[in-house]
Amino acid sequence: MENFKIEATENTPKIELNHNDHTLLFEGDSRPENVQDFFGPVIKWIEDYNKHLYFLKDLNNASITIQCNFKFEYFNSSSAKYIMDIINLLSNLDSSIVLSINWHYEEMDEDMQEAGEEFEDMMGIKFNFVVD
Amino acid sequence: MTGNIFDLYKTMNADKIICAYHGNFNYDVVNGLLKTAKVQLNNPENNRTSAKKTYNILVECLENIHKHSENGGEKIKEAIFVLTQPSDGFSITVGNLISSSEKESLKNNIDNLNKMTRDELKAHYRDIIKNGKVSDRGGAGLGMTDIALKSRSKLNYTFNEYYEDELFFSLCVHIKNK
Repeated sequence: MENFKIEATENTPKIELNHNDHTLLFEGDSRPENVQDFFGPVIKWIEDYNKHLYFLKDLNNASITIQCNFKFEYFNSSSAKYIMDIINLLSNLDSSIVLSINWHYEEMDEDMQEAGEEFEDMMGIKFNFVVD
Repeated sequence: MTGNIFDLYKTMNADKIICAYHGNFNYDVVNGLLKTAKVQLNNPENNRTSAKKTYNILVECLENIHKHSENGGEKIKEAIFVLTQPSDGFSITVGNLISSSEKESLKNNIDNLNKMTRDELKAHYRDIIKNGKVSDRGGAGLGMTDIALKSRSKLNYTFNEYYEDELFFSLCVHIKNK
C-alpha cells in the first residue's frame, strides 16, 4: 500500500500516514469546505492499513508500535466527528499492536486540551498529552 | 453618506468594535473574515487564552451562517457580524435572516443548551458526536453545543420581525478573560 501525504492549506491540516515506520501525523487547522471529501480518503487509508497490519503481524513476530501525533491548532465541530472516527478505527486495531496517541496543545489553549481529554474519555483509550 | 460614515466610525470606536462585516457569507468571505479577525486577536496585549477561545467560537458562528445562507434565497445569504473587545474579554455578535418556521427549533435548542450544566453540555455533545449524522449542509449538528461549551457563558439571542415570513435572528456570545 501507498503512504498518504497531503500538505497543509489555510483551512486543512497536513496529514502524513506512513505504514513503513507506523507514524501518523495530523497538524494544523481543520475546517475543510467539504469535510466528507476531505476526511473520506483518510478513513479509507486507515481501513486499508488495518488489513495491512493484519498480514504484517503474522510475518514478523516483533511487536508493532504506532505513533499517532495530533498537533491540531484548531478543528471545527464537523471535523471533530471525523477525528473521533479516526481514533475509533485506531483503537479497534489488533490487540497485539501498541498504539501511542500523542495529543499536542499549546499551554494557553484550554479548548484543545479539553477536546483531547473528551476524546480520551469517550473512546476509553489513554492519550499522552504534550504541551508545546 | 460621507457625514454618516463619521458617525459610524465614532460608534465603532465607542463600542470597541475591532472587526465588523455586513454582506454575503460565502466560504471565501468567511475565510477572509477569520484571517482578519485572527490578526486582531493575535495582538500581544490580548489575553491569549480568551483570544484563542474567541477565534474557536468565531469559526463556528461564521460557519453556521455560511451553511445556513447556502440554503436560502438571495436575501438569506446576507448577514452581519461584529467582534467587540469590552474591557473584560471579547464579544461576538452575528445576525442573519431566517424563515419564521425555523424560529421554534432554534429557540428551543438554545434555551435547552442555556439550561444545561457543564456536565450536561458535555454529555449532550457526546450524544450528538456519537449518534449524529453529518447533514447535507456538512454540519455535524454540533456547532451550537460547541459554542456553548467553549464560551462557558449563556447564549444571548433575539428574534426581530423583518419581512412577512422572515425574521432577523441575532446571537451574542461573550468570552470573559481568565
